[in-house]
Amino acid sequence: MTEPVYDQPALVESEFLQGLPAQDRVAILGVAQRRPVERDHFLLRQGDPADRVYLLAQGRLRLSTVTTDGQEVIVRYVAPGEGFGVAAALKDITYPVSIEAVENSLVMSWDRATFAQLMERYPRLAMQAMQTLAFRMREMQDRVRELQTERVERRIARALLRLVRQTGRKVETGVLIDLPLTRQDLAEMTGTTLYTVSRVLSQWEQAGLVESGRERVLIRAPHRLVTIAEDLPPQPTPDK
Amino acid sequence: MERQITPHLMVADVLARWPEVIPVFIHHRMACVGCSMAAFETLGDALSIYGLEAEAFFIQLEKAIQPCTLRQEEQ
Repeated sequence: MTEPVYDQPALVESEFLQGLPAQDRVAILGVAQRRPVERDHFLLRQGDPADRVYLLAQGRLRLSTVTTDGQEVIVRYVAPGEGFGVAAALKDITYPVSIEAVENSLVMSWDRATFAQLMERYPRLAMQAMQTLAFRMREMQDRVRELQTERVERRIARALLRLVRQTGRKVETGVLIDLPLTRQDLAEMTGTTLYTVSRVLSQWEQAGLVESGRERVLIRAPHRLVTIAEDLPPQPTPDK
Repeated sequence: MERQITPHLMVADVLARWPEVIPVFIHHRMACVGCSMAAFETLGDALSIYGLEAEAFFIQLEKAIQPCTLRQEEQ
């Protein structure tokens, strides 16, 4: 019998299982280990041996790493339907990040041997896993470039846009980033300080661009944020 | 015929459903194509942001869609 969790959109449309026939999806999920992770609990820690490939079914996770001088850096957030731990597990290394639940979450996972067998049996799964890796690589390249060259306002705007793409929700007054997000989190995502993030957000707030409360960011002027993120001309010429 | 594209549609939905209109957006130097916010703004929002005149814009969108529809009908 199909377990209800296997049919939820987050898994059907997930990075690994998108486009697979239902019976294959059920077979793949059927051999997965299911693990609930409570909010503020860790799924795994940086340096743990990497032996599993993960797929988030529900909730929200934060991937972070601690630099040699002790500063925490947020690598990214994981939304339902996203895979993670693929590269580490395939390469038999240790996890380069710690993974913490920021909301109560449900995680599906496979050990390396099982996932390898599944990829041989379902080539489409292997293709999807490769696409996931390619997508992550592209994101990382973009971020390296941002950190090397772009001014801090732009980095913060881009971080917010990345979060919107993953977790944005349309509300009456704008687009809400639907995840608990502090200014410290944003600082750690953009390689800057809490002070700088606060300064930039306050400026944006005064300009009517965003509204930020405790652990909450609402984007009131989506296009203006894009303008900052993409360095577009602020006032486009009307086509008359 | 009833107009299928309306100002209430989300920009991302329009671009996904009628990819042939993408050149129209690019021609007007609109940043909508590939933008994360396109899923949250309507066509009407985008037109007012860019100060574009709706009627003229819709005529261009329909022109872009029409040839494809005709070709499908010929087959």
